[in-house]
Formats: sequence, C-alpha cells, structure tokens
Amino acid sequence: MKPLISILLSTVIAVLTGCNSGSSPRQQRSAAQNASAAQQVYVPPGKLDDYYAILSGGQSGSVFVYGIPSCRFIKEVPIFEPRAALGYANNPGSETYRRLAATGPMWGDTHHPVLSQTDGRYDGRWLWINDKANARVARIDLRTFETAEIKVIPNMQGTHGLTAYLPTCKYIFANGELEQDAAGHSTDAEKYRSVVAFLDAMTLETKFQVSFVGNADIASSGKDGQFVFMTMYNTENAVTSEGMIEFDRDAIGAVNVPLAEQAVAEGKFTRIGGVPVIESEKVPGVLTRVPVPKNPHGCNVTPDGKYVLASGKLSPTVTIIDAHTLKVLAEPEVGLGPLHTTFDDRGNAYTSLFVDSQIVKWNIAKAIKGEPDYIVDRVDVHYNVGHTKAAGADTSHPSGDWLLSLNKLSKGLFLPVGPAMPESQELVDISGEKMRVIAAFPSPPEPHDAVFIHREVLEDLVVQTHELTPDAVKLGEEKVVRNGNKVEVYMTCIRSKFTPEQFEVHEGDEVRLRLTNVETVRDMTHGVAIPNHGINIAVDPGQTAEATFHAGAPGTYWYYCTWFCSALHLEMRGRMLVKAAGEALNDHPDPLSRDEKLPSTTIQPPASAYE
Amino acid sequence: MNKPGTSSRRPRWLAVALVLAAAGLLLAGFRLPLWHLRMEAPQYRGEDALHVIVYPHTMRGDLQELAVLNQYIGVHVPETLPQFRWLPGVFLVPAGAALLVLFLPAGIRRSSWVGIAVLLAFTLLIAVYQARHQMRDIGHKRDPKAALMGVKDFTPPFIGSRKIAQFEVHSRLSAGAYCAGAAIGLLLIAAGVTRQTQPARVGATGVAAATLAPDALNRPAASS
Repeated sequence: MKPLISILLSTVIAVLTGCNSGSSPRQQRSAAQNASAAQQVYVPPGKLDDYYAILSGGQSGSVFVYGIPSCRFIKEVPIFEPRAALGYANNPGSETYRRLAATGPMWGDTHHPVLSQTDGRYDGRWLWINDKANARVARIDLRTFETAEIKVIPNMQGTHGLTAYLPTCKYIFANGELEQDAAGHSTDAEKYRSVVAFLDAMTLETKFQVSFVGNADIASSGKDGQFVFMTMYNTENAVTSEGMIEFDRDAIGAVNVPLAEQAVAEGKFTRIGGVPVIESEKVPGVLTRVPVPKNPHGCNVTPDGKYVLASGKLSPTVTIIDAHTLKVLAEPEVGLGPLHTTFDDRGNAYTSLFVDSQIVKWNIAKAIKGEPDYIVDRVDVHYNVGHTKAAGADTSHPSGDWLLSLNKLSKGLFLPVGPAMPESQELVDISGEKMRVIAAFPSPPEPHDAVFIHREVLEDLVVQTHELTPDAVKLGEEKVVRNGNKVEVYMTCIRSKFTPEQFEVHEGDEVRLRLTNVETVRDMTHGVAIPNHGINIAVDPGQTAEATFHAGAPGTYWYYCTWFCSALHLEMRGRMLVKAAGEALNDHPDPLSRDEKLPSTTIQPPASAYE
Repeated sequence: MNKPGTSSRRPRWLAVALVLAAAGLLLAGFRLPLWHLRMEAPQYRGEDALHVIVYPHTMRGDLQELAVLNQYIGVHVPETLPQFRWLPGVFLVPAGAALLVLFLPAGIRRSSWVGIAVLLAFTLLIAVYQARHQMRDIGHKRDPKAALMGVKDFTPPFIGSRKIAQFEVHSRLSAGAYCAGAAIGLLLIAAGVTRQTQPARVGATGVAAATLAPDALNRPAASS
C-alpha cells in the first residue's frame, strides 16, 4: 500500500512540476519547432529574400513592401498621401504634388494591390491599387517602385474591389461599393445605383462602366476573358446596415466583358461624366447575378480558372460556382466568418475565418464531390484575419509555399505601445499537408490585401539609379533666373555640395527650386530642407525634383542635406539669403569658390603623413 | 607548299601567317582595354566595386565616383592622360609596318620585324614608366587642403593588390596588353622563321638553297 501511495504521489508531483519544467517533452518539441521556424525565416545579412510581399497600406494611402520569408520591412511606396521624408507630394509645385492634388484629396485608402500578368504569370511591369475613399486608381512602376499614374473614376463612390482583366490585363476592373445616383448629385436613395468600371490599364482612363441596382464589393477576373466576377452584398439597395442584411441571399455578379464591349460598340449606353455607362437592365446578359448566401465578401477565381468562390462572411460557407456556366456546384461549410480564399498549386483552398481567427485549408475537388473529408487543416491566427493571400494565388501558377494572414487585430502580440496598436501579419508555411504559422510581424495601418512577387521576376527590371531626364539640371549649368518677383533656382547636388551654395531672393518672392541629384552610384540620395519654409526635397541618384514656395522674412536660411550621405554631410549646406524689398541682389551662382574660402597660405601636412 | 627556290622572293607562308596574326592582335588591342584597376571597400563590394579601365586612347569606368571620393583626400583624378595621344599609334603603326615589311626585299624582312617588335616593346615600356609616374603623383601630389586627415601618401599598384585607406585596390593588365605582348612574340617568331629562309636569298636555285640550308630539307612542309 505504502509503495503504491508513494508512486502515486511522485507521479502527481512529476505531472505538477513538469508543467513548469523547461525540459518537459512538450516544451522540448515546441523549442525544436521554434528553432526550425526560425531557420525558415532567417535570411542572413547580405542575402536576399525570395519574395517581395506587397501589402496595401489601407488608410496610410500607400503600399508596404516586405521581404518574405524574413518578414523584413523594406519600403513604403507613398501613393495617395504625401510623404515628406521621401519628398513625395509634400512640396507644392512638385510633379508628385500636382498629380495627386489634381485627382482629389491628399489622402487615400488603399485596398487591393494587383500585379500585371503575361500568360498567367506575373511579369513585373505594373502594380495597380485603388483608393476606396476617393474613387481613384494608381499605377506603380515596379522598375522604380514609384507611383507612375493616378486617375479618378467618374460616377463612382467607394472603389473597393480591383482586379486586372485576364488574360491580357487590357483593363483594370474597379468596383463601386457605395451607392449613389448616376452623376452623384442626388440625395434620393431611390435613385441609387452602383457602377463597375473598366479602366485602360496604362492611362487609367475609364473606358466604360456597367451600372446596376445594388453594389459591388470584391472583384476577381476569370482567366479566359469572358467574365469578371464580383461579390454584391447590398442587393437590397438599402441605406442602413439592418436593411443590407435583410435578404437571405445576395449575389455574385458576373460581368460579361465581350458583351459589354459589344454594347459600347453598338452605342447601347448613356454617356455620364464623359464615360459610356451601360445600364445592365438594358443589355441582357451583361450582368448575371448568381444567388449566394447573404452578404458575401471575398470573390476569388481558382488558378485553373474553372471556379469562382464566394466567401460567406455571415454564412459559414464558401459557394463554389462554375466560372463558365455560372452554376452553383457546392457550398461547403468551412467555419465562422469566411472572408477571403486563396490557393496553392495542389488544388487546395485556404479561407480566412474572421470570427474563428483561423485559416482553414480545404480541398476544392473533394468539396465539389461532396466528400466529407474536404477540410484538410485549420490553424489559429492572431487575430481576426481579413485577407489571406498565398504566393502566386492570383496567377495560373501558384507556388504553394507561403501564405500571409493579414490580421485585423494584434491584441498584445507585440510590445505594448499604447492604445493604438500595430496591425498583425502572420507568415504561414503551406508547403506541407499541415499549415505552420512561422512568424508574426507588425505593420502600420492597415494592410487589406497582399501580393507576392518572386525576386527573380524583378531581378533584371528594377533600376537602382535614375536616368537623367531632359529637365535635369546639369553639372556646370546651375543658375538663378529672375523674372520680377519670381525666381527660378536650378541647383545640383553631389557629395558633398549643393551648387549654388547660396542664392539671394527678396522677401515674398515666389521661388521655384529645381534640384537634380547628379550622383551616378546607387543609394546616394540627397535631400534639401529649407528651414521654416516647410520644404524638403528628396532626390535619388539621377533624379530631378522641384518645389515652389514664397521666401519668408529677411534673413539667412541654411538649406541642408536631409539624407546622410558622406563624411561632409553636415557641411553639405548652403544659404538662401532673403533680403528686404528693394535691396540689391547678387546673382553670381556661387560667389565664393572653394579656393577663395580657404586660407591662402597652404598648410603642409605633417611629415608623418608620408610613407 | 612553299617550294625551295620561290622563298627567295616571297616570304614563307608561316611568316606571313604570324605577321598577319600579330597585326590582327595589334588592331584588336587598339580598341581593347590595356589595364584594369578594381577598388573594393565594404560599401563598394561586388557589383558596387569601382573600376578604372585604361584603353590606348581613353579611360573609362567610375571616374565621376572616384573624383567624388578623392575630393575628400585631395587626390586629383585626371580625366585624360597625355599618352592617349600616342598610345593608339603604338598599336597601329607597328601593325601597318609589319604588314608593309611583307613586301620588302627578303633580306631586310627579318631585321625589320625584330626592329618593330623591339620598338613596340620599348614604347610600351615607356608607357608603363609614364603610368607608374602618374600613379605615384596621384597619391603623392595631393591637395593639402583636403578634408580628411590622416591619409598617408600612396601609390596605387600597377600590377597586384594594395590596401589604400578603406579600399583594397587590385590592378592587372588587360586584354589589350596581352594582345600587344603576343604580337611582339609573334613578330619575333616570324623573324626567326624568316631566318631559316635566308640562304635562299644568296643561293641561285632551289637546290643551292637546300644545300646551304640542310635543315630546310628536314621540314616536310618546306620540302614537299
């Protein structure tokens, strides 16, 4: 009896203490798993990541570029919001400022990054992204990762879904989520409709639109040029959230693109806001609504182009629709709050479950056949995942290795930094049967969607210095041009000097400062800040930028380089001399040459300096 | 191919081939880089390494970046060099001359080719001497008002590696120099081959040539 008690006791003690012991089998396993996960994301200094992950910046109005698998933040590309550090749209008179200001507010809400494709693969030319808040679309040049074009979509409010019309990427297809009357001037809810727009992929001019009652949410293109799909959650055309969930079923909309093009060619449209608008009721077949459970959200065409999946959101299901016949094939249950679905290269779908805070992996073929074991795996993510995207899932050739879970809440996942918490993204290894959450990383607000592009696609495309443009200021051709109270300053910079090193203006003069960085080596960015004038220009090697401002009160204003460039970075500065009206000005671009500034007696180096 | 007796007037095919090859190498070398300098530092590694490539007529490479860097240590990097005026001639003139010699009387061919080779070697040596002098000046005649302190005078290596401030400097001869070297060698061989046909000049007939130069008979190509 006594031995038995002692054995029991020791077992109880072992179990109790084992829970806190660092050497319990369970914790050893976890440590081993951590070590293996760490190895997967470890990219040593000097080595490059395999993928660029381009995340929309949401209300930051930009896109974020991360390296995958390291999850290292690499760059933010400002688009719809000025970014003074980068000299983007912060200086009135600059090209970036003019372009953004010409299209609307100096703020935007980016949602869906879309990469250009050729033959069902990313070709590394362009990235398109929408501004939900102001009905704009931008095109980013992936050679420079800079915004190349921004345009407003007429007749639209709340540009939400965005996709490239495949396989040609001839159009960018943009969805209007927020209803308004056709021209947008009425407050009468009875007149509300929505439009979807087909934009020229290069100029971003709206070529034509299709209008309908209700709204459009997320977009995805078929692969063969027939349909572009969208989820429609407000077929009620209601104006309250209660009203929008009234119907049991809403729809997937399938826009027949060839039919729409034909309608435009045949003149079956009304021109509104300068754009041909096809009323869907007048052109049968141009918009087919496929009923799905109410208020669907995600809309994703499978890589083989056979199916379009509508994620249920309020329904625990994903609706599988034949992308050609538009027949509903199956409606498998996947979990609570399915929002978006993405794909690997082995016929599996990965659906984000907002309510369950999970990614669920399921087999599409088995779900269609009604086999009970279509759910393959589930993994917890932290927390409330919105979009999820696997590498290459928007192309015809997903790579099936990595998946990003773009979570809406981080709730203490990172060091506490006050009530405004960072967003949380998680990297999931989907190369095996079981998914593994490998790493979590924070980001500014608020990525809605992401795309991966392999390093090899961009390898020969990304430039590292700019070619001098025709409007560049050339070395030796710096000058100050005066025309009444307008002064044009043509300036160059190269380590470690601005030329001219001083210029004179009158108080209140309108100064247009054009600056060219004449460096030829990569990463040698210079900036010029003008104190108390709100000016910071940043120019990368070979780049030219300009700013226009009014000279302040008389005095000396030292303009200085804002990008630490060299051993003489701090000395890289010059003077804007503002004089009172009527005072004489000196127009010599560089009145003090280097030699004149230095003492005339030559100081011999000490003897020890010689070998 | 080259029958005894005919060699008294026409150069042997081998000499012709060698001289043509030498001239070809010199013509190629005229536009090929002579010398290559590579500079590496932590922030100038791999594809960021700086290069200076000297051709007979010009120099290319990261000259602007070198000028920018050198302003801190007071080094004046010349944009051009005086020898670019005559170095192209060092390649073109011997090439032309060596070809002309083919049409000269057989008796002075050998000495002419030797002379051209020696002259070519000599002028190249002058160019090397001048370059070494210029390189010493670059590192020693520096602007005393330069920004950086504590930089010691230096001479970049002409061939080989040296550490200069933060840079590892590697210098080597390049294709053009090898072309010139090979051309010198080929001209000398051509002269050597020519020597064996010398007796043909004094002999009246092919038989005499063969008699006076018995080694020529041992050469199957010459006697067949």
